[in-house]
Amino acid sequence: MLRKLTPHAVIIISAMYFVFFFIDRVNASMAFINNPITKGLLFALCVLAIYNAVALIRDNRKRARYLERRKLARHEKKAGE
Amino acid sequence: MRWLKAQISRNPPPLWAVVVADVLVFAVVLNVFALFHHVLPRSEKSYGVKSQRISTALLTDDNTASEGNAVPGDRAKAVEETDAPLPDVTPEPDPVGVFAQRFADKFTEGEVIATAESYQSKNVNVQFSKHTEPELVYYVADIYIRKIECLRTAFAKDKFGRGRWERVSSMSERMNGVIAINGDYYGGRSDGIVIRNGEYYRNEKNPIRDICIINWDGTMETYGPEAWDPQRAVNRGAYQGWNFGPMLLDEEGNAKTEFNSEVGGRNPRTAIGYYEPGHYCFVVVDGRSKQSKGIGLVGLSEIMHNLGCKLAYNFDGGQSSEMVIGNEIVSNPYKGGRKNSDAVLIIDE
Repeated sequence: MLRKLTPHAVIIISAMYFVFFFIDRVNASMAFINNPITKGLLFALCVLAIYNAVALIRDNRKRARYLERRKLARHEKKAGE
Repeated sequence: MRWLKAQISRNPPPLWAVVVADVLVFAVVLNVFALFHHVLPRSEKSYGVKSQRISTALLTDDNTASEGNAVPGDRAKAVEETDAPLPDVTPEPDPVGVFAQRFADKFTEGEVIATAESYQSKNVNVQFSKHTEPELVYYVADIYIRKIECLRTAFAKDKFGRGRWERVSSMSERMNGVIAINGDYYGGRSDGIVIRNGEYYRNEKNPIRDICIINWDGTMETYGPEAWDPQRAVNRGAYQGWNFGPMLLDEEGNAKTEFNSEVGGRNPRTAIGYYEPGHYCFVVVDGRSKQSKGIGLVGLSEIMHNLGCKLAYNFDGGQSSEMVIGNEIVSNPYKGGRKNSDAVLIIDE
C-alpha cells in the first residue's frame, strides 16, 4: 500500500512547491518557502523521493533478473528440444 | 482493508480518477498549509530582554545621563571642546528621549488644536499633507514628539505572536493614536528582529532584510543584517526595531538606486523617515489603482530624500499600506486594506 501511495505524495508535495516558488516570487516577505512548515515538507519530499527511487531501482533489478531468468529458461527449453 | 486492496489490485481506477484524486488531495493539503502558515494564531514567547532608557552608551563617567539628546558621537565632541570657558548657568538638560527644549515652539501649553491637516498638543505636533502627481498619490505626516514614549508600536489583538491580525485603525483606536501606519508585518514570518516599546520580543535576524532601530534617545539607525549585534543594540538602548526594509537612504542621506530587498515594482508603500531625535515622518503611497499606480523603491527613496530625511526605512507595502488619523483611514489602501500584525503610532500621552 505504501508503495502505491508514495508516488502520489511526491506529486502532491512537488505541486505544492511549485505554488510556493510562484507566490514567493510575488511576495517574498511572507516567507512561504523559508518557514518551518515548508522546511518539514521539503524533508518529507526528500525522504519520499529517496524511498521511491530505491524502490524503483529494486523493482528494475528484480524485473531485469526475472527477464534474464525467463530468457535462460527459454534457451534451456530450446536446447532440450 | 485487505478487501479494498484486493479490489484496487484487481480493478485499478482509471487514470483520470487518479489525477482528480491527486488534485483534490493537493488542494486540501495546500489549504491546510495556509491554515497553519497564515490563519491559526500562534503565541510566541518574548525574548524577554528590556532595554534601559539610560543605556550604557549614553552614560557619563559618573553614571548620570548624558546631556540633552546628544548621541555618543556628539558627547565625545563635547568632551573634546571643554577647553572653552563654560557659562556659569547651564540650562537643565532634558532626560534621554525628551525633546521638549529642542522643539519647544512646536508644542502648545496644554490645549489641543486639531484640524484636518494638523494636530498640535503639549506632546505632539503632526502636520499631514496629501501630494498628488501624475499617477501617484502619497501622504506625508511630519511629526514632532515631546518624548520618545509618544512614538509607539502596537501588536494586533495586543498580543505578540504569529497569525494575529487587526486593522491599523482598530489598533489606533485601542491605543488612542493621533496618527498610525502599518508596521513590518512581523506576524507573517517566523524570523526577524522584533523590538517593541523597549522590549526584545524576537532576536532571529532575517539574513536578507535590513534592520531599523529607534533608540530611547530618539536616534534612528538603519543597517544591513550583517551589522546586527544584539548586545550593541541593548547597550545602545534600542526602543523599537523592525526587520523588513530596505533602508531607503545612504549614510549621507542621499537617495539610493540599489536596495537590499526582493520587494520591487510599483506598489503601495509605507515608510518612516528620520530627521533628528524627536522629529520623524510617516509616508504612505497609494497604489494599484488608476489614480495612483504605486511607487518603486527608487521613487520612494527620492521622495524621502526630497523630504529632507537623513534616514528612511521601508515597511510592509501592498494591501497592508495605510495611514490612519485618529480612527479614520486617510490613505486609499488597495482593496480597502487588510488586517495587519502590527502598527506604528504616535500617541498624545
